[in-house]
Amino acid sequence: MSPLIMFDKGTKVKIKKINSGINLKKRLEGMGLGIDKTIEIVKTPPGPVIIKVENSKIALGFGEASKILVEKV
Amino acid sequence: MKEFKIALAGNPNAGKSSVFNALTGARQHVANYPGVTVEKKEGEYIYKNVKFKVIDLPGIYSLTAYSVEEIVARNFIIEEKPDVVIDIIDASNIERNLYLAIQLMELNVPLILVLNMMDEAKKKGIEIDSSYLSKLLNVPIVETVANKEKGIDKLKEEIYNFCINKKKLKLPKLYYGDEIEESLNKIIKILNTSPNIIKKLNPKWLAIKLLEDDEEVKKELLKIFPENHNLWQIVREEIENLRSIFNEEPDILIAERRYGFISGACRESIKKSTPPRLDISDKIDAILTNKFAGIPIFLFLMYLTFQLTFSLGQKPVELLDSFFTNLSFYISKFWHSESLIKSLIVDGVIPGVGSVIVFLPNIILLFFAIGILESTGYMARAAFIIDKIMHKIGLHGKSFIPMLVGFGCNVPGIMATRTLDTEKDRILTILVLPLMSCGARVPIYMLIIPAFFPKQFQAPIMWLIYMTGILIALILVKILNKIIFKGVPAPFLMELPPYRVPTFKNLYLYVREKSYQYLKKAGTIILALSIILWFLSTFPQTKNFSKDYNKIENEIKITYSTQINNIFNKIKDNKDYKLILDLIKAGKNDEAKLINNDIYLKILKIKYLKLKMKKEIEKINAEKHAEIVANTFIGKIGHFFEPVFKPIGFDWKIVTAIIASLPAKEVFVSQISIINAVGEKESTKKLIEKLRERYSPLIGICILLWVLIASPCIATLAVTKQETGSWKWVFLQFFGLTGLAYVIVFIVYNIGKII
Repeated sequence: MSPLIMFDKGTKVKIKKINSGINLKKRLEGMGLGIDKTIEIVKTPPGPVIIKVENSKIALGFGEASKILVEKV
Repeated sequence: MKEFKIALAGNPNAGKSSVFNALTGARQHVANYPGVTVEKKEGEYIYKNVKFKVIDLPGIYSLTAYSVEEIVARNFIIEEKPDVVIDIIDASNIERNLYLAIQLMELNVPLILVLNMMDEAKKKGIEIDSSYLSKLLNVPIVETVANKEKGIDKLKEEIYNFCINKKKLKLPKLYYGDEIEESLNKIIKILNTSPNIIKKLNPKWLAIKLLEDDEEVKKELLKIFPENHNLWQIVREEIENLRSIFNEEPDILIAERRYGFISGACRESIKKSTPPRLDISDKIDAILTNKFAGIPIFLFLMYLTFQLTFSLGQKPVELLDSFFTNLSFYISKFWHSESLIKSLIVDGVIPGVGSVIVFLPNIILLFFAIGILESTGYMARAAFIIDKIMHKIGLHGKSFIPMLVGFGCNVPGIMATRTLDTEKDRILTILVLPLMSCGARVPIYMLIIPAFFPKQFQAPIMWLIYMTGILIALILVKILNKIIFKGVPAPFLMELPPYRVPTFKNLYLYVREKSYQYLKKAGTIILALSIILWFLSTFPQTKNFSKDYNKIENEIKITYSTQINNIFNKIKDNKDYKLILDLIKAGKNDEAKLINNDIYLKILKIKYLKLKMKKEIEKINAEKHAEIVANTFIGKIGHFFEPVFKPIGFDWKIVTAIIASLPAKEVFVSQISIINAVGEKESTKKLIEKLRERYSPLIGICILLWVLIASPCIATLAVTKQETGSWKWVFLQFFGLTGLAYVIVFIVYNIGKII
């Protein structure tokens, strides 16, 4: 389990844990980023991270992305 | 006629507006939800002799209480009890979109699911067996491609059947697992003791919300169950209990169960194959959000937007302008009596309202451009691209969208700050948002810039003004962040929807609505202000002039006429006179000179004297007008404040226009035109000439800067009060920006004078 920011572009990962306050958790959840969801990394730092979940892309700040712990699929 | 109320819900970017437009066509209008500033779009349509009222709820991801939009949508569904809720689902993002559907099911509301953008889903290799999914979820499902109007008739039929037959659907029982269900049952048991609740709300939904620790629901329930009621004790115990069993917050557990249910249903009804080719959106994104190319492309697109708005808009603007000039001209030509009503119409209403309507082509083009940026999906990229810069200053990338909207009008821009997550970001954005040049300032720029700058510099100067506003805003945020706020920046989280080709219909309806709002302003506020301003600039009428202008004018006429006549008498009988006159008229001066130089010179002298007479009469008339205006209320107000504005180069005319434009910025144009045109019917072209005569380009720049920075209009201030809930911020915004404008214009003016 490592932070989302540690992976390369194009990697498919599974969300395992979100180390954040309830506000961010709820927002992520509404956007389809729940536990056990598989996502693809589209853009890596520096700057914001972009991930792909289903057919949509979601941009996350570096700080937010580092709170999401994932595992490589 | 029977009437039913239907509500459209759905995620942002799921094509909700397309469905709304396809259902209602042109029969729609925009209002606000009471008490909050979330936009409420309403429309209606008639199907099989039954009227359907459609309410477009704000786009939401979930039904929690974490944003105003979610609360508004939820309260609408609970309180207004629509006959059916239509949940628009982006078929290519079906799992995530079903999350909202599940929460609507929890609410136990009559529900129809619309799988929109089926074509896009197919392209992505997603095949949905919607009749099977419908069976699994126990909810009717309609497939549509709303932007191509596909499936809309089927949807109408489904809605009709649903409403007429009053099908009471039994929604599927979501099972949250033994432990959670047990906790829910305990809470439901207590909730059921109150008869008020069962009538209004689904107790299971309330129980779920209590376990999720939903602030809004807790607030509502506290009205029924006082704080010492054992309900709250039980809720606390159950939350603690679940926490200890699963080592996780109950609301996260519930979310997991929902997603579990969704993925179960999807596994059985959806087949996914690998998409046939590389995603086009990815390719476009690789360029548009590129580390190096992203910002230049962004700036270029902004520049293009303004070029489109102003270059293309110029011709129709000129046409409209001459229309209003002619209107005034012909009315005064055929209306002989010199009554006050005539003056009100010709000098007040037509130039005032006309000066706003004239810029309608610019407004249409601007919103057309913004509409394209928005509906293609570029707007979200713009926020993403600019986030890096915004973050450095201490703002959220998301703040950029309200600011971008602010370019159309500051008022909706400030309203759009609701999408921001923290109070700090909201207030910061609201405070500096008036620095985004809104549409109402465009008419002023369009008057001042062509008045003082040659054609090839006009667009770049316009661009520069917009950029100066942005730059000042960024610097201000940085300063405010250091002085007033000392927090961490808000989370950056936003969706980048796939690129889409905008449809003409949706664009048209968007532009139409914005133009209507603009014209409504022209028809109401500006009309009223034009009348008030006409009154202020007409009364009190000057009865006793400091000089007898008529007498002076007559004297001038007599003096010059005598001289002219004397010369004329000497030459009129000469046989060559007519010939020479004709030659001069034909521009053949050399030939004329050769025939008889003496007569030639005398004719020229007459011409010169006539011109001189005209100039002197004009001068004396201008003096008279100046005295008339100076004596009116508006002149007195302008004169009173003139000393304050003298150090920054403004005379009382500009000051008067500035003060008069406090209620709405664009009034500046009509005011400066009225002030310069009392008794005369002048077109914008003539007004520009007058400004050019009276002021230097430096003053032009000073006016531009003042209009850009100083006091936002009254509507903006009012909405700031509404959004921040405190006069403190309103005062800071008003005096802060006005003070800043004074300082900056002072510096520019004094440096400019030296150069």
